[in-house]
Amino acid sequence: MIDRCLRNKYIKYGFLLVLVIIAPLVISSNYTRHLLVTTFIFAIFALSYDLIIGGMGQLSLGHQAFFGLGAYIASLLSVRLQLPAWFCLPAAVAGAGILGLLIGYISLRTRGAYLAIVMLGFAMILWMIAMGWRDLTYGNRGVRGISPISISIPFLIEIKFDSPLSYYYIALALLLFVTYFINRLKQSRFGRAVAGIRENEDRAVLLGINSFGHLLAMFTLAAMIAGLSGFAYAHYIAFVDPKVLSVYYMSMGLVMVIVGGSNTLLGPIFGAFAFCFIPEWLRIAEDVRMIFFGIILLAFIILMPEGIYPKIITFWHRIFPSRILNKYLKNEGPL
Amino acid sequence: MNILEVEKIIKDFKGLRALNGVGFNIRRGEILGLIGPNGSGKTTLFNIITGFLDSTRGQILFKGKQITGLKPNQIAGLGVGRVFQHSSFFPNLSVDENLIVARHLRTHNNMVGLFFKTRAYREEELRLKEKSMELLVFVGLQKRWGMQAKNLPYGEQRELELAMALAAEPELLLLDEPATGMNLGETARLMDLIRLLQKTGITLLVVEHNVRLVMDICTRIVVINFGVKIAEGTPDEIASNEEVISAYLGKSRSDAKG
Repeated sequence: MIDRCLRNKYIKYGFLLVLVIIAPLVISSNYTRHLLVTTFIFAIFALSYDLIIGGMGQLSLGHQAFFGLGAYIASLLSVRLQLPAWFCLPAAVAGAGILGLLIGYISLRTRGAYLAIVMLGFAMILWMIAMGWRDLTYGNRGVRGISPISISIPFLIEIKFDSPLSYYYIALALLLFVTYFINRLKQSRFGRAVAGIRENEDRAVLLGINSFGHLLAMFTLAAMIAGLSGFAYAHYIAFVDPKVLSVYYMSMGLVMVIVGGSNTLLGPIFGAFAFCFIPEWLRIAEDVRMIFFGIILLAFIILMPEGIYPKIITFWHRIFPSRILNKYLKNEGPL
Repeated sequence: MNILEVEKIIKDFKGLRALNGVGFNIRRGEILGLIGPNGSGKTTLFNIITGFLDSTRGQILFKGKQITGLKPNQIAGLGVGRVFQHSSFFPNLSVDENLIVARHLRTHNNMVGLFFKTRAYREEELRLKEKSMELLVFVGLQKRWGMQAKNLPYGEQRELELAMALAAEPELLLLDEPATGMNLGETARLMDLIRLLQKTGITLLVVEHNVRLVMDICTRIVVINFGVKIAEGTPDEIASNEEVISAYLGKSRSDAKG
């Protein structure tokens, strides 16, 4: 009976869902809640990055451009035009999408190293614009005073999502939506076609798949989701500076995807957890914290190149053997 | 009725003329063999027909329509399939997933159904899985369901590739040296498969070095050498064609009949 429960998809999902919903109420530390919120936001970014790395099989060194652009669009609309969050969200997503379409249209004509560098180039241009065009972006000083997401119906509700506890649920909702969306996408005709292009482009083309069109569409979607994470970042941290367009977030994204497990559903989410929490646990050794972090990273890449998540799945299946042992490779469900 | 018309194809590679005015027709329902020594231009011709290369001059008509200059995925969409010389499949996907992806042209996107898991969507998914199994049974790989494609032995990889080409339900199938690396038993099975394919109504263009195979299954044969067609006819006619024999098949008739 317990065995059957542990294998039932819905019970596993349901249990996790309940866990994740009551977590912030049970955890008393506001700082831990804050860590969880940032984890969720970066998990969305990592998932979008993995659409390109794992889903399309291409290395992009410029994905931070979409995250940063989303953050800037959301923050500038909020601060300069006093537009509310429910307007900033689609604007950030659409803006990142348009940029993705443009960059993708040009760079997806190449592959491999060329593609990576072209993306990096575009991202650097964006970073320089953010730094230099002070009249628009406030330059290095950054955008401050972004108003938090709020719901207000006069005389009825007035909620400001400006604390880790309240924002937790917004970030969680966005993450759940994105996870579900990507899971379904990978099982669609479109997602399968992209998988085919990744595995063997010539074969896919001969089966009638328009490789450029499909890759461009997937790339644009990845950009839009990254823009969404930028929006979430801006309205939570309430401060956006050119650092969001820097290679710092690019490397962060790569680390999350690789350490967590590329081309899996939960891998990037695990990676986000690792990235946000491990530096915290290392706080005891304050000065050498980042060195330890780097060592841990190297250890992961050498010992566990496929990522944390696939390793966990392997162990899970050793304890609870299932008929479908290579399920995680097929992306048919997170668990 | 001609399903494919290759008209005076000339292909130059920066000073090297790979194909010099090659032309022939394929009638619907027949198995046409294309033979010639290595380097005679067979693969180049295949690449031009399927759209991976542009011809310098000349045109190709599929079912009467111009396909010269179209992109490979467009040509595939019109009903031309191809099996590659070396295994070409999706290595990290499972065998059944390979076939599901290969059904791309015969299935459609259903965005609403996808996200809300409607009955129509679920039924389509079931159909995809059924068709996938059907194709595996056809090539004899049914017990490999769920196995990662790259773990298959070589011969079975070729069978998978054939199944994938069939998944798109082409009207014309180009087989690029399908018997490469096969032993006698595997070759015999392949020949049975090809004959079975013809019975289902597919027209086949086969490039092969294995002379016995070509003589056995092809309705007609075209021989090219150095980018030029040197003979065209039934297997018997080809076997007794002096030019072909001296250029390719061997010194005497008994050699050719194998």
